Amino acid sequence: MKESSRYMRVIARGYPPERLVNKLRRKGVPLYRIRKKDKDRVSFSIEASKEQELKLACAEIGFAYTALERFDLRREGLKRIPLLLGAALFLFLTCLSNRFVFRIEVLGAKGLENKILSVLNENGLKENRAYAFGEEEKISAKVLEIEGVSYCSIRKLGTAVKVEVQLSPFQSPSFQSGDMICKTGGEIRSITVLSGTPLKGVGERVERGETLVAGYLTVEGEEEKRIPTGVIARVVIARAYEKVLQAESESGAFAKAKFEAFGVAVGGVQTIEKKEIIKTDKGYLVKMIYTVAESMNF
Amino acid sequence: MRLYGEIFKTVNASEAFAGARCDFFPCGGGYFQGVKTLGYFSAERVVLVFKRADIEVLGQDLSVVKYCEGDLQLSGKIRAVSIIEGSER
Repeated sequence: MKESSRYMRVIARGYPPERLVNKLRRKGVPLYRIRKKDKDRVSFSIEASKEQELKLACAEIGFAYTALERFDLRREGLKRIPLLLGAALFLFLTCLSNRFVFRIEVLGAKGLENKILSVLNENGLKENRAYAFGEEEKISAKVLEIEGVSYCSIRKLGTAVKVEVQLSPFQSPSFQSGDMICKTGGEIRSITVLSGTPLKGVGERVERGETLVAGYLTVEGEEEKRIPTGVIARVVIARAYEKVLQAESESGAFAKAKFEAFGVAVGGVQTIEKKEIIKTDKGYLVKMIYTVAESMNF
Repeated sequence: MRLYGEIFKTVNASEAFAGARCDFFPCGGGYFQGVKTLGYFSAERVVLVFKRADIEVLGQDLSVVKYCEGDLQLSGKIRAVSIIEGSER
């Protein structure tokens, strides 16, 4: 079924036209673009080299034929060179533009888009620039360094780059700077300082608002130097509670006392060390000693 | 095409149907193998004579694109392909 590069268009006259077509087929002449023009006319194309077979077939069955035109597929192909060149240029430009990035899309980064874009830019991923293939993992690692980003994928889709980001549902609290200030007040039971300088010791009484641990380290030498540092510390403070409460029962009075006391003690873990409930004429006298643990960056 | 090959292998098409095979696209063209002769053809109707039966192809703007050694390619819009009654041999 291979078409020769040179072939001719023929119109044959005779009845029925199918007879000539079948005759040629039996002679092994490939026929192309067969069209029945009329009940006794048919046009088709054959290889120019098969004209002799056509002449013979027509003579055998009493058909007449006229050669309309001769084609050279090679010449026809040459005519299409500008079209082919255009197509090649289009393909070349498409491939070339595929190497560039014209648009960067950041998905799933609520409020962090600008931060992520700046990280991308710093690492060479910019709009209207060539795309650095194979750098995706490195850039993803840089994006993952941004606090709160738990997943990052960089995909190039044509001339656009899609950066898909997932934010961590449990963002670690940011590091607090400055001194550790007492939020409750009472007697210090224990103090643990991993970083910073403790200003109070165990057994000392502290008031609310006093500094427990200072945000510096002292370097001893000829001159005492203070180097600022972040505080990492935990302080357990004991507090006393004593109040006459109106309640129907002991347990109700104790519940009220706990609510009042722990409502005042801001933050930390509360532990009741000692409790005493005495029934009086005015209600229940609740005495309680409890500890509160305060911490900073601990 | 692999599946096509497997299917035709299982039905043993070349022996059972004397090499006749009709592939066509609904409302499109078609490709026919094992065509013995072209019984009749016009823009609306084409009759293909195979070894075991005659096939009638009905459609619009039908034309034979290639016809050579029993292979026949038809273009146009094929609406129906059927075996002509009484033609089975």
